[in-house]
Amino acid sequence: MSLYNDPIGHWVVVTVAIALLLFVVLTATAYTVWFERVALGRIQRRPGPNRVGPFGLLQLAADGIKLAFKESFVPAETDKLLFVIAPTIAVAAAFLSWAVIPIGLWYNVQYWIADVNIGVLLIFAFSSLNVYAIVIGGYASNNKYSLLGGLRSAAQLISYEMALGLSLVPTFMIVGSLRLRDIVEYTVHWGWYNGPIPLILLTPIGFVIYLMAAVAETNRAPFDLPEAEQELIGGFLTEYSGLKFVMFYLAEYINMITVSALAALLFFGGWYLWVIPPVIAFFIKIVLFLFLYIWLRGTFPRLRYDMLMRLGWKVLLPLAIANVIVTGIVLVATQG
Amino acid sequence: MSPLLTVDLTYTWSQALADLSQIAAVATLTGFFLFAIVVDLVLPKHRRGGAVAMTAVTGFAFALATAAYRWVYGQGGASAYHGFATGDNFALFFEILFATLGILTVALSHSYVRKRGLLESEFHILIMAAVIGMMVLGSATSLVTVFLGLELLSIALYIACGFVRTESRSQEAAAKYLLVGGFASAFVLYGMALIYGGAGTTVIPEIAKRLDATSSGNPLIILGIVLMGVGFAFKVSAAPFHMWTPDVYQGAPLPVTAFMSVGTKAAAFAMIVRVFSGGLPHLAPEWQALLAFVAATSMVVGNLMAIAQTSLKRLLAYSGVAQAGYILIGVIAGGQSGLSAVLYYLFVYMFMNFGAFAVITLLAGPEGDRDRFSDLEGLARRNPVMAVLMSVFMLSLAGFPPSVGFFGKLFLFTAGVSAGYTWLVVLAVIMSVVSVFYYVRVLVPVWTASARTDRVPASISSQGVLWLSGVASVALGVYPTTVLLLGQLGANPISGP
Amino acid sequence: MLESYVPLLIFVLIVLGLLGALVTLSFVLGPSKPYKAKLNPYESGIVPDSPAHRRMSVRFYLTAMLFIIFDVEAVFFYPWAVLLRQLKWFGLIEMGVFMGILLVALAHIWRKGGLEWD
Repeated sequence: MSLYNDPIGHWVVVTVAIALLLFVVLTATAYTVWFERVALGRIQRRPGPNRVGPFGLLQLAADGIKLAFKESFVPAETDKLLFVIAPTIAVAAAFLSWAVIPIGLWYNVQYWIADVNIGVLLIFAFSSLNVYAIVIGGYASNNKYSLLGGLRSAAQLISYEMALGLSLVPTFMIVGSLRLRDIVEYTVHWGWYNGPIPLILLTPIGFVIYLMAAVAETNRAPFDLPEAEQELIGGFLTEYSGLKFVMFYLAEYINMITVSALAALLFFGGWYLWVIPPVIAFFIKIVLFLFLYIWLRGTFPRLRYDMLMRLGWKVLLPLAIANVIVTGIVLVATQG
Repeated sequence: MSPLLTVDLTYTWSQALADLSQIAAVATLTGFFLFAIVVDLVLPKHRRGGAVAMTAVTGFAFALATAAYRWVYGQGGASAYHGFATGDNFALFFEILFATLGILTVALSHSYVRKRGLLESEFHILIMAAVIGMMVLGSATSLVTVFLGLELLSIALYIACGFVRTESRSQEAAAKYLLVGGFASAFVLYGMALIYGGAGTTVIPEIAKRLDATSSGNPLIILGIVLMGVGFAFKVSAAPFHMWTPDVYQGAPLPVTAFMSVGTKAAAFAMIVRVFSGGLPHLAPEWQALLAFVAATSMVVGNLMAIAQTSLKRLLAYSGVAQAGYILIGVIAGGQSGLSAVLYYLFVYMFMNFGAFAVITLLAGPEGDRDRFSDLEGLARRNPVMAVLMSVFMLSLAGFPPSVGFFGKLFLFTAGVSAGYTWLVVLAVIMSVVSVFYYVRVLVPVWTASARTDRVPASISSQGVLWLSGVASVALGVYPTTVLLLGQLGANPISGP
Repeated sequence: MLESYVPLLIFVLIVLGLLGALVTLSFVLGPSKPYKAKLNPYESGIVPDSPAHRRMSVRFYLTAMLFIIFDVEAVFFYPWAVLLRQLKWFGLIEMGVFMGILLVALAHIWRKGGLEWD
């Protein structure tokens, strides 16, 4: 059902809904950072942030305020306009994906900003804007580390974007729609069972490819080569400081939540989880994925760049194509 | 479960097969093209080149046979893929032409590529890709497919031009061709966009229906015609858009020069005839004026500049500019006589021009191409057969009777006169007389006595190319009616019988 | 159909407004005391001796081109995948041809070393 059937309150409702969504996403992002620092701390057998507020919950507010009042200078000989635009693109791209991600509140009630029939395609379109942010940021910084980090990152993102895009094709074949709601609501009639089903049961390989590609897409460990601090200082982030640095940081964590939410929606039945209330089920799934990300970061060493590209091009891409072919044949053969 | 989206599926198996059969020759060649790539990947290194060359020749032969079969049994003509392509006689004529050209090129380049130590299999694969692009141009009936074919052909040739990676001249040729070619493609594309904006469709026969003489008041359409005309003139290397031709011809490896001098020109003329004569018949006065200007400049510039050249490649490049001018007369004249003359000329031009380049190709050594006049010295002693054939090609290009060149020009010029372009034909005749000077000048070192006695070796396949070109250049002139008749049949889909 | 994109447009405007505010704040809030050494590009403490914009490895360009090819392929897959159940074998075979051509391309790139990074 749509929230905006009433034509008079349409604009107001939409604006309020967007504001609410932005607030929720920003808050969630802040606590994702807190969650990551605590979890990483525990993985490394140290407490993590625990001073500011109960359990260190206000740590992020403190960090934010501190960074906001830091000097955010633009180095000499940079391309000033591009230097400022780059972090803007990053955050805008990260936010915009949320316009089409539905949030399950109750069984028949979802919260969304735009219900378009090309939802997933739109998310890919927005998330691929991220490449521009990184390349532009790296180019504009007038710094060798930045440029190399930016280029590396661009090559990495585009390499994994194909695997990411193709890994979802079997899902679309099965469901017959690109709308995220349709994918979540996909129901099967298997014997006595009638109801929604997590699609991971039908495209397990697609999920594996998605998971790996998504980690690479968000520049997270073990695929965080663009920011490899040992060799590239901070990659494209080297020259950024203050709030502009915060914006890149923000974008990374929003993207993390986005791909976690997408994984939940595309492969794990979104807000459906047995008898657990949908909004809580959705929340649990996202948190589990976020934990998986943090766990990966705490456990795996970083890949070498040639290994990274090899994995993307020589393993994931052929695997994704094979997955599409096999799923297609099976699907057409079984439906008669 | 009801599907979430439904689509009206009217495209069925039978329709797919019917459409595919319209582009059978292109499809066949594409299949062999893909097979050649796979062959190149799986065979051991020393056997790749020969195997890919064989695959290429087989592919061209099958495409030729397919096109000929469809021609003989008259199965072509229906519009396929929602009007994007067709297999009418015009398309089949060019498919036959390009398949023949492909065979000639592979046969000629095989020993050349080996001698110069170039990458063999990639070379032949590129030639196949270019030929596919040319065939697509022949059978395209939509501006979109026209552009597709144009780009496929051009991109393959950009790479082929820079194929000698160690030679800066070849690199220069590739870079120049890429830049100028990209420029020309952009012109064509802008023009197409404007025509699409004016007509509301990209399908050429539909454009012909929607644009009538009143459209000449529409600045969009006129600008579109001018932009496309400029782009096409670039592609056929007609003056004043010919600047790239001598440099690219000189820098590119010789078989590539031979291939593109004939193939690009024929493909570009197929494109011009399709789009201008086929798509904009009601706006003929506009594009005829443009092309008449281009034709006149081409003939003057090409012939006068050729006189001053000392490199055979550059000489033939300027000769090609002039020839483009002659052929444009046929396009301007239009009608069955004009278009069939164009097709006839393109077909015979393939043999005489390719033959001339083949002779120069065989002079090349491992270190590079030898294209100075002095390299031809004493050819009458060093390889009498080649000397005779070179004379045939040169005299034919100059238009001496009873060679094919003479009849080609005769058909073009009569069509021009009967269409009322007497001034253009008079200019063409004068310029033809001028051209005799430099064509004959090439023959002077060939037949004068010289101290050089080193033989000019020719592989069997190259000899085959030479003989075929030579015999065709004479025979098609002695019996011009056969090809002319084919040309008339080929022109019918555009001009009407 | 198209009105479902209107909220998206509003979303874009709001996000851009928010980010504009954030960027402005980043210049307003913090102190600004630039001096020459601070504005230098950071090279781990060494004074930069050459411009940062230098020629990069050709592999990056190659990757970009390969990406274009295969990403366009992926985009073609989407509408086809959505309708596959109605297209049945016909659609599968048509797409198989398309996919086959691209797989030949991938095999070529792979075998010729276009995917190597060392």
